[in-house]
Amino acid sequence: MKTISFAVNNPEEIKIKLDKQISTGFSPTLAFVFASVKPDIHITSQAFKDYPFPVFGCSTGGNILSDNSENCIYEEGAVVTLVEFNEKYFSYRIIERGSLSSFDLGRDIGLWGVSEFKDPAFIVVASGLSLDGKELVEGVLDAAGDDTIMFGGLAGDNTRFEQPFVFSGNTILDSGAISIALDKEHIDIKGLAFSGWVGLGKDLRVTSSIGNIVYSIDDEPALEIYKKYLDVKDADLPAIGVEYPLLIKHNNTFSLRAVMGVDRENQALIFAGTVPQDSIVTFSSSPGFEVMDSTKEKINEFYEEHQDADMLLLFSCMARYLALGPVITEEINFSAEKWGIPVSGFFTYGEIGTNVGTRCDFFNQTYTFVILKEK
Amino acid sequence: MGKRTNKINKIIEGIRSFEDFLSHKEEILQGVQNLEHDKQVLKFKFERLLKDKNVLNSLLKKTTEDLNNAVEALKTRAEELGILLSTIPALVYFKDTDLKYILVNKSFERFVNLPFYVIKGKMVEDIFPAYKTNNYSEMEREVIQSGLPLYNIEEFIQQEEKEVWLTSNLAPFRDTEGEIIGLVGISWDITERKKHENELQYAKEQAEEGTRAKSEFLANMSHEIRTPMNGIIGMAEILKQADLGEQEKENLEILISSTRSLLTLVNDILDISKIEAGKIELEIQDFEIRKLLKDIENIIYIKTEEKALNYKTFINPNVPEFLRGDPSRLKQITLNLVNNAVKFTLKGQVHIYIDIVDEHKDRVKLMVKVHDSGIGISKEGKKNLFQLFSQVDTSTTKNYGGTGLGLSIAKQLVMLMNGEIGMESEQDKGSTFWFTAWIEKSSRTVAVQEPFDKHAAFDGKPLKKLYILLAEDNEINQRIIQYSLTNAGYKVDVARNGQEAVDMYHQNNYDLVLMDVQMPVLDGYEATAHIRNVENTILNDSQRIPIVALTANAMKGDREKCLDAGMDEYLSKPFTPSDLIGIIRSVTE
Repeated sequence: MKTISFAVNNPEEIKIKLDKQISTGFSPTLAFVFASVKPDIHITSQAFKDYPFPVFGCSTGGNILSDNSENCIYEEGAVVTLVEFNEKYFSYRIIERGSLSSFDLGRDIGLWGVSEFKDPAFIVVASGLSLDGKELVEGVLDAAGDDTIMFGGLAGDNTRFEQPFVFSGNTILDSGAISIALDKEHIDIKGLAFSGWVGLGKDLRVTSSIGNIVYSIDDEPALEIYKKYLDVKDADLPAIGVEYPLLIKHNNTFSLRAVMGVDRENQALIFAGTVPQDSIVTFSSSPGFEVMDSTKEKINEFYEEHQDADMLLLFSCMARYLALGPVITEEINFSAEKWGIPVSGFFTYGEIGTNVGTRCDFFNQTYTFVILKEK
Repeated sequence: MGKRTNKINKIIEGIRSFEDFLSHKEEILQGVQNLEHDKQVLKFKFERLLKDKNVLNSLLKKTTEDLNNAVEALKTRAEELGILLSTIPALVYFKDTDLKYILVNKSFERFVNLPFYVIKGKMVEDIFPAYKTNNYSEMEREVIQSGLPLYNIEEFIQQEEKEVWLTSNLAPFRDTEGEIIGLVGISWDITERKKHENELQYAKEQAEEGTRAKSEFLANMSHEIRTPMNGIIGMAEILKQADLGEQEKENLEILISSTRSLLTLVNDILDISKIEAGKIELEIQDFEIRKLLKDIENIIYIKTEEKALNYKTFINPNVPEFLRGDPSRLKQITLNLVNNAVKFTLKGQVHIYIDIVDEHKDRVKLMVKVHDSGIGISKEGKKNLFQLFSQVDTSTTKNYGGTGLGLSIAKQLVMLMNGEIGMESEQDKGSTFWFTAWIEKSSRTVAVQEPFDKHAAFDGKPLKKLYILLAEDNEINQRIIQYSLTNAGYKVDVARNGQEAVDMYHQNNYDLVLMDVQMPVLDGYEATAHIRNVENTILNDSQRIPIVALTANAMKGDREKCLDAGMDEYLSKPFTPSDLIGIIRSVTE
């Protein structure tokens, strides 16, 4: 498995850089493209339309490429990672969601994956502000099995919360998904997902919700609760809800749910994943810049077990970027330095990850990190 | 940032010429750029912290408000609970899993006369030293272990001269994870209630005792009434043999039949009062059912003949010849139904059907049906038929007589035999009365030997000349018995009590003693014992004198008691002259 990554601030430069790489005899079989909606996602997509390899593209909340260059976060243009490996080891699919539920979209992907390979792993990006990431994950696991390994994220749109996309060289979807199924017989895929966010304040009860739409908390409109507790203005949402997500308490574990949108008519909040009615929640916040120390510790632990990698991908929550700002480069560069190869990825509106030995889940606020290795 | 500034400062301080400046220009520019970057990071951090501060402040403020509200609510709640605990007139306590008190209410403190700080951490035995606590602690432990509450534990407690009844409820309590962390107990002082209960119990016992006494009185009265009635009947029978005119004879018959009716009534009342006093028991012995039915037919014969009724007994051949039960009670029940049938049937038939309807290894369920073509009974009339003193209606009593005791007695007797009694009837179309009874099977295959053969009394053979000693304290009975015996040709001496009997036994050479059981001075048992003792010590066995007991106690066990006392036979009052002669012949011939 060979990879070459580059970043461009202007999509016009993509073709030039691609041709330059190909002219050196490199022949990519797959391209990961993490692109900004600025200046125009269509130009980015079209740049790939004449090449023979499939494009795993999505819009982002910021493109990531850590490769020893001065910068590792790109607010405009795109980050491209070209991969050259056996085409038999993976399969590619772009799906328009249409009228499918989030769960059925996941099932569709899962069924397709198990029809392609006996034991597939998945890398998935999906677009759509109303998409329920948790349901998507449950759908895949329902079709492909509870022990399925999957990584990925929900596409972003530079905190506009208007219209994220997934795209290939000739298709752009604002409600759809791109999935790569990997043959685990030939490709090793592992990773970790870690947040570090902490719960704050008293326990609240979700008194009315349907899927990922929360109507009321403690019998007050969800939007009103956010405004009241965080002392913010109506216009501050949904963005503030990305940084201060709800923490859903389970027996001994918790999951975080970031706000993705607002239904102002109903004073309701749309979250990136399911928030079950009657669940007990609190607000949550990053504990400060120190959260990165924990990230590094986790990466160190993971590195000790898995030192060999051909390729690194990072799905980091948009909220981390908002909370840590330019300092976030510390935790992004840390993994690239550790393995000595570039890390590419993007700031997501929600992460999909599988910690070693646990069931795949949908997250918010995490640093979700993936290593790929050809066997 | 300080480092970078120091570095630039050092470079600038080292510049001595324009050449120096040019050679360090790039380094200086890079340093400034780095500083700018650092400034941007710091600016972000500052803004970030400011934002976090604002949001977190708000969150903290709101959370503090929430907490205060929650604390306030809890405080109110705690106060309410405190009021509840202190005003509730029950002893309330909480204990940990080691059964040590962790909280008690005011009533509890008052009850044990100790302040809470003394009670806290103590066990039951420390607080109630005078009271056996093992049992209670055991129950508390059980609640902790099983997780199930225990209700209404009643205990009598003595505490500092107080004597109280407490009823307690114990229930476990759990933490949020469902783990049992202690128990709560609530005890109520129920001393007053107990007092009432005891009073009620006492009143109930009194009432029961009263009823029992009444039944006994009735039984005794009936017995007392029977004795003079036997006198009347006996004397009337004697009178009958005198030379009387037609009118006198007729009057005498009425006198006798009225007295017999009265005697039946008294017997019924005696039965009822025995039943009520719980004194009625079955006397189990072998018997022949077919013989029993023949007896009934003989008894009822005159009445059926008078009315020209078709009277028939049908007995299924599968009914065993010999059975084991109480034949006299079985006869009493059947006769009652038959008597009723005959009484209420003016023409047509009275049929009796006997069958086995169920069978176990050692017993059979006998079904006796008495079917008649009589006046029948209306729906209304059936309702209370088997109740005490009930008749179909008052007019029945007027037209047909009777006390309404018969069926009720029959029902009680049937119940003693684990059977049922019932009837089907339609007004004017006749009735079928039936009963069932569980009767043991008998191992006997040859005819039952009756104690004595009544029919042998006057079988035409001349009577032996006997010298008889009659021990009887009742003067009327003396006269009747004496008359019967003299009339039969025996020679009779009369002793008025047991002592006289013994004295006379010593003076004369009697062939037989008729011994009343209940007598003053010396009773029949003692007198018999005395006689037997004399025989055993002085005389040899060939001179053993036959002694026949005469008793009014027709109770179970009397016969055994008499035989055990050394008597040879037993005759219960009332008896007819032929009964008497029969039994005398059976012991002397």
